[in-house]
Amino acid sequence: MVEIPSSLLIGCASGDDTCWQELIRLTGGHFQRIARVNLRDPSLTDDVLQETYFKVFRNLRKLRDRSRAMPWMVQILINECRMMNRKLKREAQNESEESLSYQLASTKDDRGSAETREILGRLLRQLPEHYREILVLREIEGLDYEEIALTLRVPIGTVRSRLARARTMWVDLAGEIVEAGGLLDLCLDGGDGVA
Amino acid sequence: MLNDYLKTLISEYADDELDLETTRQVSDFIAENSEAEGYFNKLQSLRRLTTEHLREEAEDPTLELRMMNALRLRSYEQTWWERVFASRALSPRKATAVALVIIVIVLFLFSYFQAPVSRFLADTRTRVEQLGGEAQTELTERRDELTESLGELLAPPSPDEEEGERTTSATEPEVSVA
Repeated sequence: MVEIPSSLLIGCASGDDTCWQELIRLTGGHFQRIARVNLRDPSLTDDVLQETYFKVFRNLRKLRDRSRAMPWMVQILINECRMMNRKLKREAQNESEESLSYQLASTKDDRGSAETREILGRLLRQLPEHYREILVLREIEGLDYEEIALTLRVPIGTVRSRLARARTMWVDLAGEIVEAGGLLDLCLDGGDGVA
Repeated sequence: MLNDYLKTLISEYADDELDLETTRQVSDFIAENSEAEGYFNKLQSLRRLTTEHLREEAEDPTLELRMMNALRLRSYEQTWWERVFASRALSPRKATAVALVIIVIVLFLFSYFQAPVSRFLADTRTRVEQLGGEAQTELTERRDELTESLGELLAPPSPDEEEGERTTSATEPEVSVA
């Protein structure tokens, strides 16, 4: 997990523009990746990031333990993603979602990196919220178990069991997509040289 | 069929979170069990694919700029209480008017709720007094009953009663102990 220097946080708390720029430079990429996968609609990533930074800006002075700044900020981001997802869910209740299998089948012959990224993102978005969050923190952000426990505020045992359950669902879902004739079959079999 | 426990072990094995002995056991198990091997390979493939395409995604060069601009704009936003205090709502005339309105509202609420409260208190007092009176009467009755029964117990028996008792004992047959 990214270490945020204490001096940087003090600078941000005092409203120093340069410090804020540095903070956003340090954390922006991570936040963007987390939000893109966690949001039902990735195009809203910027909105969620803005809201997150704004909340950090408002509440930074209240943060007592500066060594926990990054987990605290990720927690705010995850909460924002949850809120946005709930809002999107309410709005989209009457709209039927496109079938992931259909989407995958339609892109079978066009296996670009962007498509693979899109499919992997959609695959993760199919998972329930708790499982998706933990997978994103582990697989995309590369946090270890303790950091995940700190970020999600759950015991480390819960991290272990939830991660195992998330992975089971993840693998099963990928299997279903392969059966549906999706793009991932070649990737998973080592067809594009990745696996 | 792999159970949850084995899948948890494989998950931790994939993250290198197990101790040496368990790592060796899980490794042997994966090598021997085709289902476990298939699950592990699929998981690792997914992880590699995700790392390559999602973790190492190119950074957005304009993100910092966009966020800074948005933050600058929003940092001027005020919360509702800041807006109240910043506005002229608290200029002397308006403050006096607001204070007067608040006082009137408080007085109205006080008078509105006073009658029911007083009624409730009066009712409660009456009920308490009534209960006290009942308890007192009951206690007096009990005391009188007790005094009467004690008097009966302590009073010496009358000569007629003694004579009656003696006659009864004389007619009773004697029981020989031997």
